[in-house]
Amino acid sequence: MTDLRPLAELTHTLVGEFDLLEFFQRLVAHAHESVGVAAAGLLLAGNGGTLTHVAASDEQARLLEVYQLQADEGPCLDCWRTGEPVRAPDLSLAADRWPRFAEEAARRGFAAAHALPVRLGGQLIGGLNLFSAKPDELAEDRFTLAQALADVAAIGLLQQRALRRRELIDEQLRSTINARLAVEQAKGVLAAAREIGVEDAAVLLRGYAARHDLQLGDLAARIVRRDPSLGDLAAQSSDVD
Amino acid sequence: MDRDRAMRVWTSVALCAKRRGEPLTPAHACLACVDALAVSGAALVLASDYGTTEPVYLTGAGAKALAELQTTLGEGPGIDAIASGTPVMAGDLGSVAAAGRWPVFAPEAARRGTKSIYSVPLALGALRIGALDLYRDDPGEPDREELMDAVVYADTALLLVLDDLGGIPTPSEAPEHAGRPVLWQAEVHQAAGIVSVQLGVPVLDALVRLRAHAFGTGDPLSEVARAVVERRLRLENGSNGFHRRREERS
Repeated sequence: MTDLRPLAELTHTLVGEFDLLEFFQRLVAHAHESVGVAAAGLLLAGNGGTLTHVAASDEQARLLEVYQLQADEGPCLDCWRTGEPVRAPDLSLAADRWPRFAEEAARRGFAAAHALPVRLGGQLIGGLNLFSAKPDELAEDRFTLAQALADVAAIGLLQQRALRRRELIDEQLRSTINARLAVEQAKGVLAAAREIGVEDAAVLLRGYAARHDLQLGDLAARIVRRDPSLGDLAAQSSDVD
Repeated sequence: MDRDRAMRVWTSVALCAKRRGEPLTPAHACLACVDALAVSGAALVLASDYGTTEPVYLTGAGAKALAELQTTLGEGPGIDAIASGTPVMAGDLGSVAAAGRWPVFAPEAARRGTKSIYSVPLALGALRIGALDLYRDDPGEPDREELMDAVVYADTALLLVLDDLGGIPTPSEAPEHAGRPVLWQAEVHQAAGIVSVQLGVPVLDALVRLRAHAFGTGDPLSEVARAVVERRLRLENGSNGFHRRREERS
């Protein structure tokens, strides 16, 4: 019987002014652990049709998702085009279906991939993608859990929308993607200011946001605008509180 | 699939420039938008350093007057759109609600015959570059299709503004932007953050310089960005352009 307590913990965070980006980050981390796959990633469509990477449980998954978008090929893309789940339990057999993706996945250490559609109010808005290190059939109970998590992604968006003034789904997705891009901009600023790598900068950013109860997107925007009150965060080799 | 929408919008903008025998500029995004959305005027305003807006491209005397009014007053839907990074609808400028929000701008705009405005931001991550203000002579708000089109016109205007700022001539063939926008790739934004610190410039400037560098070398922006992020490439200030100090190819 799958332990649903971590899932409950995740949905309990959907109160007050919660941080949607951080929520998606935790969702994919949770998918990775609870479904028992090597990694998970989330893609959302901004402005009605452009899929953008929003969160991943590790760097390899992020790179593979971004690769799919750039190559315009892979299970996530097929899921997006059809609106149906896509199963690829053994990527070594998928070279005909997705030649470039299969090769890239193998290079990144993944042997299976599954893509679940994310729908909001009947509208297809993205996909939750699961990657396994070995061939993986993804039995029914795990598959069901994965689809439930894809639905939870949509619930996060619904909840955010309920807390704000009326917004179209499209505007909300666009804001989410802009928040994500702001985080990338801030990662660059921190990485150069502190002479560290961008992924270390990401860890720094998330830790600071968590400790100070700030939303990732807001913190990122302040860093990009060189908010002087964040001087300690951007200073090189200072101890960050 | 909204590649169709992006392609349709791009084509209308490129055609607009072609009919006028002019090289592509953000003005054409405004003109094509006015045609497509049947609004009475459009103003493309850029965020100024003073918390107000600078009108840059205008589709006529009416739009010009309203854009200048917003600049002078430091209040208006365009300013709010820039600040929030989300579209702002002013469905009835003669209403009490509008007067509450823009006490001087709203009644004055209504007096001049503009009954509604919707303003779409030109934003990229945390960068608040400007807004596309669309004016109508009737009250009302755009429907979903109109708003989505307006957003794509604003995206197109943004691309053209970035090209303008970087001194890059925009080709009239549909850019990669009409498909998967390289401007939405994580590495491009990471690189902009890095360059902003290395050169001591705002992140928007850094983004413009990255694009100018890519244009100058003929390398795709995504590759230039990756090289910056991997510290194989460092942009330097140059007198009339940007020179690579050192580039290592692996």
